[in-house]
Amino acid sequence: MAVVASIAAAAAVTVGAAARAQDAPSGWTQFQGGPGHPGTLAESPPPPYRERWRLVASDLDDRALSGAIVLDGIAYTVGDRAVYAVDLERGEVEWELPRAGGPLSVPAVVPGRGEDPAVLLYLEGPAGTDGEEDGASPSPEEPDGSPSPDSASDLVAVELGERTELWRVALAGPSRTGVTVEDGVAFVGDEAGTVHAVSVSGGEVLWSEEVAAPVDVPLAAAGGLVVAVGRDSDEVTVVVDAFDRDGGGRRWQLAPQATSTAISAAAAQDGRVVVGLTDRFVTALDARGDHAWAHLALSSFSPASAPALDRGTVTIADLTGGVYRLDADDGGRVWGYQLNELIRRSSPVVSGGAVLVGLNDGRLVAIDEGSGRLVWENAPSQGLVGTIALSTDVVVAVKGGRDAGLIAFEHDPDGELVDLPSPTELDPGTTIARAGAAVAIALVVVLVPGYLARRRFGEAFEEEPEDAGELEGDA
Amino acid sequence: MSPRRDRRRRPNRPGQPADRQPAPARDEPQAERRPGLFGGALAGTAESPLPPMGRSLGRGFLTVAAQPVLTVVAVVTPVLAWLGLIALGFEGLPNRLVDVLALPPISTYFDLGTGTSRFGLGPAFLTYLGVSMLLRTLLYSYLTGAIVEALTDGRISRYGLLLGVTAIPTVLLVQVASFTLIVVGNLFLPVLGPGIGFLGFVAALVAGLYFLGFAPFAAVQERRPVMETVRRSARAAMLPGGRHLILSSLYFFLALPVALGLSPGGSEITANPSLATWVFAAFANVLHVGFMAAFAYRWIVAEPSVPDQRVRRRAQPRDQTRAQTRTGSRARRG
Repeated sequence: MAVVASIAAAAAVTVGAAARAQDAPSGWTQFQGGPGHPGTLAESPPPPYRERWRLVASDLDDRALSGAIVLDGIAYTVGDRAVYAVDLERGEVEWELPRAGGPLSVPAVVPGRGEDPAVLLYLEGPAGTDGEEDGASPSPEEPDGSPSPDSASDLVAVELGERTELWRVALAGPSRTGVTVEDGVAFVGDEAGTVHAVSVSGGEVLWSEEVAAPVDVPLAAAGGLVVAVGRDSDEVTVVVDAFDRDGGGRRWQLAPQATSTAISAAAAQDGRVVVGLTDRFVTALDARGDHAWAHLALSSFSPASAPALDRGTVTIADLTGGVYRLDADDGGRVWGYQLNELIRRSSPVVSGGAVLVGLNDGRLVAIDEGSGRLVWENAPSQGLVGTIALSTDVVVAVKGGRDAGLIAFEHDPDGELVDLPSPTELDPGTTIARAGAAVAIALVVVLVPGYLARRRFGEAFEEEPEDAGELEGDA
Repeated sequence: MSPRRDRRRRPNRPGQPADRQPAPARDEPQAERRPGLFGGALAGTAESPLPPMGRSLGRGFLTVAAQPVLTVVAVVTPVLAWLGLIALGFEGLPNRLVDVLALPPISTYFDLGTGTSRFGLGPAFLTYLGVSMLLRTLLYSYLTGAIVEALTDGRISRYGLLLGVTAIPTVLLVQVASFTLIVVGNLFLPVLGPGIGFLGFVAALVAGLYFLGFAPFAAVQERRPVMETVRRSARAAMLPGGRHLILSSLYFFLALPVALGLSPGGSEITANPSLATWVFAAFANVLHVGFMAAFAYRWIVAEPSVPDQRVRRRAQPRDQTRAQTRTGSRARRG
């Protein structure tokens, strides 16, 4: 009987894995692996890892590189000077396309289908703006406050085979959102507060919609919705707008009261939208924008980070190092892990049964998806680990610091896994032993002098010490 | 007997009417300056009926050290509070432990911090705050009674518990006032900008401690109506000289930036604080109870000097004020 049950369970796992593999995207073709930000890839390397290669931007006469996307053994990344195609096996640049500067953001690739060629989409310009991946850009402005045409970014489409530019669309302002693609439509937002829907095949602008604040975090698209998060640092306002994917038009809007603009990017799947709000609540909204559930995190969220929303689970990281796995149906916490290190530029992704996230101290950490315990981490190093991309055999992450660029990890069959609980998990024995020892120490240190003083000065200190320790002169 | 001892009075046993004495003061030549809102501290040192800071703190800490009950409460309460918070699902910095037994409004600040960290802002937060306020009221009332008994009788007995019961309404009012102070400060002071607003907020917290710091001890010793007790506390705070302001400011400085900032492991969120964190928290809470005892000692010494009525500072000519002061001094010495 037990054998039958085991076979049935194994079959269920196999069928589940097959279904998962079938539904999953064929590559890591955009930020967080898909338009709704699932943050997972069906077949991706499990921990432990070892470094496979490192690509340093300064070796390419560049300053830094964007988060990567992966298709067919090639990683694509954006630098100030160029867009690079990097061989995943060796970490060498296969080719590059010149780029005229502008904020660095994650590109997207649309795989070729039939006679349609594969298309690479990325944002370019305006030249002279900083390459930081988030934060306000010091773009020049027209006297009336609107960005000048020269200070706006372009959405560029390039055919991957011939590497020829297919089309180019001028946006209303500088853009940092990166490119989100769903069913042949590319969605981008800009700092003028405009969301654009552009046909990938011809470059026609299908619709544009205004958001009440600059849009500088990646858009999410799923279930007929396009979700944009707007943040205005000057007015300290945030807004979450959901637009109809096909015709534009606002479906709903969430404008929570904010005391900061530390809001996460959104994730969407099956009509559900999840976003980490400025009040520290991970909040889920349904297709109509109605509140579904909320879960309190320990801190607010980085705008450069998005939840991973996939198949009934939400995985989200807060700014101070909390990683939470939640039930997407009711927001119940499956587990939480406190890493006690800032997470500024990384979104959690799931690879080989482990949640990976990059930390500010240069660590990449892996938390077991089922148990919520830390199973692997590399040594801290100078420069943060940022946006992560997955392929079937490599984990590619942005590396910050002096040697900014990309770093790739592969599974290490000789590596060792660890099994560490979250520090927020109470260890009663240890805690009570430490507290007991502290109480004993304090009692001895305080009561012994007290006992001596009592013997010297009497019960109520009738023989009062003469101005012992007088700190202030008697007037 | 030390010449100073006649300045201390034992608390009235329950049922005994509180002594009402005219506002006495010292017989030394008085400064001619009016005391002002902060007892003249901002303008310079004036003669004060409050004992000096060194003696107040010395008596306060000796009292705590000589009474195992007070010391045990000071070092065990953080452990119980932490286990309770963890049981509630709290995840946060263990350096908060250093302010478990802080005097209000700093303790209120502690409760607000842990409450928002665990529950955010909502009904559960308000429930938590109400419960913690009640628990704190009971504990502080007991500590108040025990400290007063220890200071006056040199021991702690059930009588201290009875004394503490008389302080419950006043301690509760102090808790509510502290909460109101922080909420109102948070609502209105940001309009002054980040710098001045922050300073204003700090000043409001210090002012809360300054005016309300004596109230629990006044309640135990005098058993007057709650509002009258609070007024007496405020009048005691405004007695001439800047000693109370200095002690309040020193306490605020030690309890917030120093204790929180120096706490080992202060930036690590964990449910299992290190031994160093626990030891530091234990001593920090002894410090709070020691300051509480210092406030109590000051109240006991200065109570006869606290005027029953609000001092009309501007209506009286200087000569008359001086004459009244001398009369009061004689009465106190009498």
